[in-house]
Amino acid sequence: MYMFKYILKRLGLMLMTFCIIMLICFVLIKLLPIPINAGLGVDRELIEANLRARGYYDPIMVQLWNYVKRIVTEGDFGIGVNMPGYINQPVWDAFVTRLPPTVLINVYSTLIGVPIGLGLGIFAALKKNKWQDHVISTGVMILIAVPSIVYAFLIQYIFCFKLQWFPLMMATGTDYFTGEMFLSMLPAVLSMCLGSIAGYARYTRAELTEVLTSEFMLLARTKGLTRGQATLRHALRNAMVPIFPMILSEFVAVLSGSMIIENIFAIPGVGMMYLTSIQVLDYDFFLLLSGFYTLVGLLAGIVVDISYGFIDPRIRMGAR
Amino acid sequence: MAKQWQKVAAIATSAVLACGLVVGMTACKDEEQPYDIEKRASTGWEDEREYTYNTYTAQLPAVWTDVNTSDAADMEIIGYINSSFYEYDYQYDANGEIVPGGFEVEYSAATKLEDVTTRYAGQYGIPADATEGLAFAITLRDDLRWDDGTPIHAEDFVYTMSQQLSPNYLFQQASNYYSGNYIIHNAQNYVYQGQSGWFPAHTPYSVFEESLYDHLVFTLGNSTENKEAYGGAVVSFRTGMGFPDSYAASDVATYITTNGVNTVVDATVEEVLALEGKTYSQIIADDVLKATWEKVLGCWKTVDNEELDFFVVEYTYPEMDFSEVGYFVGENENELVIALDGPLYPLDENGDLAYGAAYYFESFPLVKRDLWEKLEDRSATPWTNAYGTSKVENIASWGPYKLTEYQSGVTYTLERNEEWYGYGLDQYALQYQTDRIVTRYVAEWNTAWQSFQLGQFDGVSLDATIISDYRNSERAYFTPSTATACLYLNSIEETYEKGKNIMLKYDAFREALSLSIDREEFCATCSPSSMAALGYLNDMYYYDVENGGVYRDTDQAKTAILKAYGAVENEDGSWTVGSVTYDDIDEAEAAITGYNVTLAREKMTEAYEAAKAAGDYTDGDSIVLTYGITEQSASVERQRTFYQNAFNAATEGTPLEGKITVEYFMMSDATWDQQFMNGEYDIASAGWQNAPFDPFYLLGATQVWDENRFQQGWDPDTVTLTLDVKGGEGQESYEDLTMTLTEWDACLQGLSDGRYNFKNYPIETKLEILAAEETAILQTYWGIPLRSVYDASLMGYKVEYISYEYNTFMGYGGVRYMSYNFDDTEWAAFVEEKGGTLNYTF
Repeated sequence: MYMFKYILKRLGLMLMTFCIIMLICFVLIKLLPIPINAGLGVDRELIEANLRARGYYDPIMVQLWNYVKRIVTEGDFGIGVNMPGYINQPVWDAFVTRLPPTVLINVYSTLIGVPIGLGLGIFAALKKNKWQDHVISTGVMILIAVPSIVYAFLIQYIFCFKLQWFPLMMATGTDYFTGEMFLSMLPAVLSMCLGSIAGYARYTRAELTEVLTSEFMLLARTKGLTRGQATLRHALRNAMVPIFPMILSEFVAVLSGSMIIENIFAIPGVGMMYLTSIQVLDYDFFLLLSGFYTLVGLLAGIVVDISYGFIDPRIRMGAR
Repeated sequence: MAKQWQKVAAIATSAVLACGLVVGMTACKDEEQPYDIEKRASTGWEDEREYTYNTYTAQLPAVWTDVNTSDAADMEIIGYINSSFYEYDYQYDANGEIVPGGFEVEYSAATKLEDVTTRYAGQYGIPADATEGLAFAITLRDDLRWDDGTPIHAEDFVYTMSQQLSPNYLFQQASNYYSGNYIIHNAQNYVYQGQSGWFPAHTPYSVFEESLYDHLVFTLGNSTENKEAYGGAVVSFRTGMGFPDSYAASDVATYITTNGVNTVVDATVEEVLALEGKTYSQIIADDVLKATWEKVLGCWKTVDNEELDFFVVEYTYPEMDFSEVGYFVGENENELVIALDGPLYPLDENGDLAYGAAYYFESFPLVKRDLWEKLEDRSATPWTNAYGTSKVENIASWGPYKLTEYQSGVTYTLERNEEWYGYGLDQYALQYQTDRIVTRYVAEWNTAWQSFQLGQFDGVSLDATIISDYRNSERAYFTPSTATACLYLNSIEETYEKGKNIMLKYDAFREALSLSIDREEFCATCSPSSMAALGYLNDMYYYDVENGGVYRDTDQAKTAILKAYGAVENEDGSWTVGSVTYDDIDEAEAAITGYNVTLAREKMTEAYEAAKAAGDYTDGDSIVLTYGITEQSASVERQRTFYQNAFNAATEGTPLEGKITVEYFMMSDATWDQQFMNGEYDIASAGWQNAPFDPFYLLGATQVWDENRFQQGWDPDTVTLTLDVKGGEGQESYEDLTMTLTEWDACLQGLSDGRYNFKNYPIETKLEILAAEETAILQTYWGIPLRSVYDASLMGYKVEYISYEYNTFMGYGGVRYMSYNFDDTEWAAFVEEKGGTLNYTF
């Protein structure tokens, strides 16, 4: 019951935070000048008339009301004005068309990165200060030190261009669950998860090393548990309390940070759209994508907090 | 000890892994010989083998109908699914060889173009006594069909134009038909019809006349301030000055009384704001208001009727039926008639097609009516229409190809449209060999480059990082454009700060900056495919298209460059450049580089002394120039470094040595031009292009007109030119005629506010004026030409253009004339035979 109330409370707070953030975004973006791309021989008045008809010159609060009303009643998030390739296009259509590849790449990245990262971390912790640990730690340091964009170029050059194990670009089509499609996504997935793997491995090693030297582990061993049993049942579970939230936050970070990777591997995702919407001042695109990333971030925060309770029953969210 | 060895082993293992990566990256290229490829001529559209042209784009076309096209990228599809009424073609000599630079104009979707001015004289705004140039009948082929076989008639074009100009849609492209190259009668009034309310006075009215005095209302307010009283309308003065909408009337009043425009308004903010809401009649009836008004007007007006720029007016555009628009079906179902408000001459004296036929009447918008109406959404304001967007089902083709696949953000495919009238016509024999065009969206150039080497694309642009390796490849070609990239300098004096950018106000300083740049070196370092430029108009501008007259090749244009860069014309007609005298103007012009560090240092010293005397510079002050960029990259860093080094060299040994710093300024992609015009940063790398057949227009429109001029703080009215004007037969001649640049430009272009009209004067006279204008503008040093823009590309081994000599009208012949050295099957085998990676270095 405590948990239920806690979740409701958090959802309510999340909604309020979301609204405040979006309100700030809306007001700030509307305070910027309205960009009008009138080249030689183009009737600027006509462009203004079109924008005026769309409500661009209404007072900001009126625009906000109309914006919310359109979304609620018609599901209309606006029309692209300056976004290259999407001018005069409904922004929602563009968004939903381009969302699946972004989500898939990130899910695959997490699915591959988490077990490998945790595995390496556990292995390094168990082999603490042995050569295996040094090799893993050195690799982890290299992976952490180098930005993912560098891996992306290296992976593309070596595995896609030189060795031709993978295609250079993501396959075309919208059937995302074929072998060909998965293979074509792998270079991008690897580029994105290498950094995460390093992060997971380093964190897991550090946490697990600390837990393995705890007194309760000694107790577990003296009770007759094997090292593996003690590690799996006690050490790992305790170590996961800080690690699991990290996985979720990493997922969110990767989701918002994949725009360059998307460009390199020609993935039709939403990452690059966000950056472009800011550069070209396409307000409707900016607001929709801001809303998306804000929501993902806020939801992740809630899920992380709730997850503590599931990982460690001693933690009861919302309990007095 | 053992642990230490373990660490060493671990580090060694890691080093081996890292080395492996490096070796993988730097794997040696195999020594290869040039491939032995037989170049095949086009076998045309009838060849039954499969020929696919694979290409890529950094921006997928989003809208595939010219009714609603949003940018140039859209033309990638539109160009293939539409047809031309009249089109350019290569000119061939008696041996069947292409005549370099030559062109012909041919009929394609139309079979006739007729000047029918006399037929419609007295109607559609055509004067009753008009005889030519104002109405044209285009006779369409009778076998025009959509890709589903539906016939196309003139009525379909008329319907489309009614949608194009529909006030319910307010399509931006509607203005193509009333503010572009020609004005279709009543096109603008049809678009604006029914719009009732307050407008900037200059929108419905062009002449400031007494009948309007009671209706014109003065306001400097923004859309919010004017919402209640004037429906949010703002005056043209505001938009002309580029004031953001957040600027209130008081901000504008403060600006003009503090900074001014041409002059500073000598009045208080309160006095200016006292004009707010007053009609013109009220203003002139009150002595105080009238005095203030005259001061306000004085800061702005340079040509007639600019009084209108300060007023809004309540106006209702009358309702109008489309039948009143000069675009209708003629005497039969295949005759489309266009009535214009100004004359055009697309036919030569024999009634044959001249270049203007394909230039002006290449095509008009066309939508498939049933599909258009099905996709129309009237619930939105303005209406929206999904025609030509999102899905292949939303578009129909009447061109040589049709859209068969489109995936947003990924790819599109065009395949042969079997219903196209051209397949089977003699004029298209052995053409259109390409069966399919597959275009992939690739934003990252490196990805495209690697795909090209794997044989997945049939062409690729060359990036500056590799151009030195490939510029001599047999597969490399360089495409000129009309763009000249210039370095524009901040001219807004109000933004100057001592210790930062104040030196820009000194002519000698700007001249020194210009002289410090070695344009050849700049191109080699920063833009290897470009060529050094000294003038605003490059070799792509024709003053006489029919006879191949290129402006840059004329003596007048050469004189413009010589004078602008300090050459001296001697009495015997020779030119002295530096210390060398040339008898031949071509040699003299060739000797001009615009680069002279010695003189630059002299100018720097001159600027220093002037600034110091004026108190604008104190010894030890820094000079910080901000360079506008949208994102930091290796490319822009190369440019910044180049400028920094050039400016350092120009100050060496002068009191300004080491004082200039070029810093980045992050600007917005969407508003970079306005930001520069407002003086937010000091150096903009920008250029203008297009209008290749009208250099007279382009120079004036981009360097003189207020609305486009990057150097907003410079006033063309402060520059006067004295020239002799020689008229032709029946035209008056003038000696020592002195006018401002603005006035000369207006006269040269025959604008209504020009003191004279030289538009139809002899071409030699017009060239003299144009060249004098160019010299005068160059000598202000607000805009420093750097390079003529060329695009460097590599052509894949699979395909060939018909000619690699660029033709202004035909380019390289495009897909129409493209031939294939391999069909699709042969190509796959060829790539595999070469190990999967192709070498383009030879």
